[in-house]
Formats: sequence, C-alpha cells, structure tokens
Amino acid sequence: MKEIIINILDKIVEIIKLFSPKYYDRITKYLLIPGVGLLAKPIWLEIVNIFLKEFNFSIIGEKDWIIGLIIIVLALIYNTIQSYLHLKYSSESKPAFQNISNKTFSSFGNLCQEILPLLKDNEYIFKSTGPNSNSETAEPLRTDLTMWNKLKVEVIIPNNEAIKKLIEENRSLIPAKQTDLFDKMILHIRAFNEHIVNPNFDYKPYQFPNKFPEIVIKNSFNTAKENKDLKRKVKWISKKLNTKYVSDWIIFGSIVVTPEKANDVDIAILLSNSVELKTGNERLSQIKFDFKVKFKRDLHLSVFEYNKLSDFKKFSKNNPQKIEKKNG
Amino acid sequence: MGKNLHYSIRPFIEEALNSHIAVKSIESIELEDFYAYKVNRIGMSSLIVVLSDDYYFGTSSLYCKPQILSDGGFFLIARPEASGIERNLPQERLGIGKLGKLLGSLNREDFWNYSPPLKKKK
Repeated sequence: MKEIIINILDKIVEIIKLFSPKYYDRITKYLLIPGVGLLAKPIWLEIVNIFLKEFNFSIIGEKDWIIGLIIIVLALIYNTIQSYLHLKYSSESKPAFQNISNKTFSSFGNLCQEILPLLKDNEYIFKSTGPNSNSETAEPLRTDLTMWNKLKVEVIIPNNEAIKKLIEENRSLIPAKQTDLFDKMILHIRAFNEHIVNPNFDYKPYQFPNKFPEIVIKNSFNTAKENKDLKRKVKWISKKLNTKYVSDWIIFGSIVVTPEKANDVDIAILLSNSVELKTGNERLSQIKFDFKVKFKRDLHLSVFEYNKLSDFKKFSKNNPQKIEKKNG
Repeated sequence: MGKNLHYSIRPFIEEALNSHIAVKSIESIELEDFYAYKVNRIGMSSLIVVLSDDYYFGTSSLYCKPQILSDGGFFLIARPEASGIERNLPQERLGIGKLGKLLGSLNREDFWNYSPPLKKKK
C-alpha cells in the first residue's frame, strides 16, 4: 500500500515538473504538434475522429484551423514566458560594487557580509589577471597585464571606494579592538588610489592588511550560520544528498558567508563507491533541477568519484568555510 | 557544467586568444549551458573551445561535455583556481586543460596531442 502511494506521489511530482522551467520546451512541443496538426488537418486526425464519434465528440470541424492557430499562439506565449523566467533567475557575474546596498546594518557581522564580496572580487581579479600570480602552478608567467591594468581602474578602485564608504558610515558597528585594523584598510585604499594616479608614489608603508579579510570572513561566516534562508536550503540539500548515491558532501563558497548575495550554491560531492558515474550524474541533475524550481538559484556541483577521495579531502581542506555533511 | 564564471575570465581568455600568433580570429558560439568559441587559426584547421566552470574537473565533468565537442576540440578548465585532470583524449581529438595548455596546443594541427613542458624544479 505504501509503495502504491509513493508511486502515485512520484507520478504527481512528474506531472508538476512538466509545468516547470526546463520542461517548457517539451510542453511547447506537445502543444505545437496538435496545433500544427489541426491546422493541416492530416488523415490521422480523421482517424481519431472516427473513435471520438462514439462519444458524440469531434475535434474536426470548420473552425479547426482557428483552434490550431490558438493552440500554437498559446504554446509560443507559454514558451516565451518560461524563457523569460529562466533568464530572470540566471544571474551573470558582475563587479561587486554594482551590488552594494545602502541599507543600515544592524550588526558588525552584517557589515562584514557587505564588505566581503568586494574583497573577494578584488582578490579574484588580482589572482587571475594580476602580476606574479599563479607562480605556484604550471601556468606560464603572465607578462600581458592589459586586463589587470584595465580592471584595476574600472573595478578595484570602485570596489575599494565602496569598502571605504561602508567602513566610514558604519564606524559605530566596528568593535573597539578592530578599529585600528579597519583604519589601516582605509589608509591602504587611499594609498592604492594615489599609486594609480601617480605610479611613482610609494605605497609600501600602506600594504594591504592581511588580517582584514580574516576578520571579515570570520564574522561573515558566523553571521551566515544564523541565516534562516541558508538553514532552509541546507536542510533541503541534506535531505536530497543523504542517500546511498552520495558518500560525502560539503557546501562552500559565497553561500556560506554571504547567503543573501550568493548567486548560486556551491557543493562538492563525493559519490559512493557503489554508484555508477552515469547514475550518479543523472540523480544529481535531477536534484539541480528541483533546487532551481524551489529556490530560483543554481546548484553548482563539483563531483568527485569515490576513487578521488584524496582529491575530495584536499578540496575540502582548501575551503575552510563550509557546511559539512555531519553538520547538515 | 554551466556558465558560472567570474566576469573577468572570458575577456581575459578572449584577449589571450586574440593575441596568439597562430590565431586569425575567434567567434563566440551560443550554447545554453556553456560558453564556447570557434578559434580560426592561420594555416591550420579551426577548433572549438568550450569553457568549463567547474571548480574540480573530473570524470564527471567529462561525462557532461557538450555535444559540440563530439568531433573534437578543447575543453578549457576556465577557472584559474580550479583543480583536477589536465589530459588529452587523442581518440576523440580532445584536449583538456587550463589556458596555458590551450595556448601551447594552438600551435599544433594535432592540438589534442600537445602536452605542456614540465616546470623545472628550482
């Protein structure tokens, strides 16, 4: 009896999914085929009509072409709306200063969460396009600094300005023991800006205070742990991933430090020893889709096969801010 | 699998490709789940480059490779911080790796056989 109920529920879920994004192409197709069919009045419809006569019902008549046309128009409108919704919830990456909100912050943790994406953006640009970056990898030495010089002016300076403004306007939230550090950050920003205008200006005495991101990350992470929306997502993910297909998982990235600003949810997954890659991937694709429908956000998965256990552990170690399976 | 890349990555890759001595032009290809380019080379055949946004490029990433790479091409591990496998699949005429490897392989017609030189130990 229980199995029958589960099967019925599964069928209902499948039907509901037919009306959700990604399946909209299929729905469109199902509507277009009879629509075009009615418009063209093919023989098979006449055959169908013979059976329908038994029930005193006909789908072939003088107005068939109108019905066909209406179905096609409805299908195309449906497709356009779903495509729009898909695009609306697919957010593209953009410079962090463009996402700054001017709200009043209620705590130091909230302030840190506003600063963190700006810091991360700058760090990413420096590491991926800046001088002497990637020296530990096999990548060739970066000599073309065109992108770095461009982004320094177009993004790093506005990001820095946003950080400075946030600190200056929210001084009352900064704990006394951190004020020196935050002042050092402001001095660094001023010196960096001066260096851009005047490359001869020596800003070595005002180097980036390495302790600053440490404090910002730590407080952002602690604040995020109490975020209700994140808790809801973690609960949902735990339920879906704690199956025989998945041996271990971690949630990492921006969602665990700035849940309200994260575009997606990053998860690293270690598949079980027993599961085939194909089965595992299909299962995970389904979870990704369900998550998108429910939370309007993407799940960004990094999948490790069980024989890559050491890679998974290394990956997990390299992401100190995370929610682990045991805590999920 | 997806288009989840920092906004600086694609311009950086495009800049690197356009500045390459063997590249005549690049054309962006519209795909639903990936960013991709057709790289037209001077005196050699063109090749398709598809950008992976994975933090870890493993067998699962390869399993999700788009149809457009079925005739060969280069699966670019686009995130500079990504880890995972850099290898070639000669039978599929497929190269897999980071930007450095892609730039090296563009100099060869059989780009799928290129391996970057090993870094000298200090």
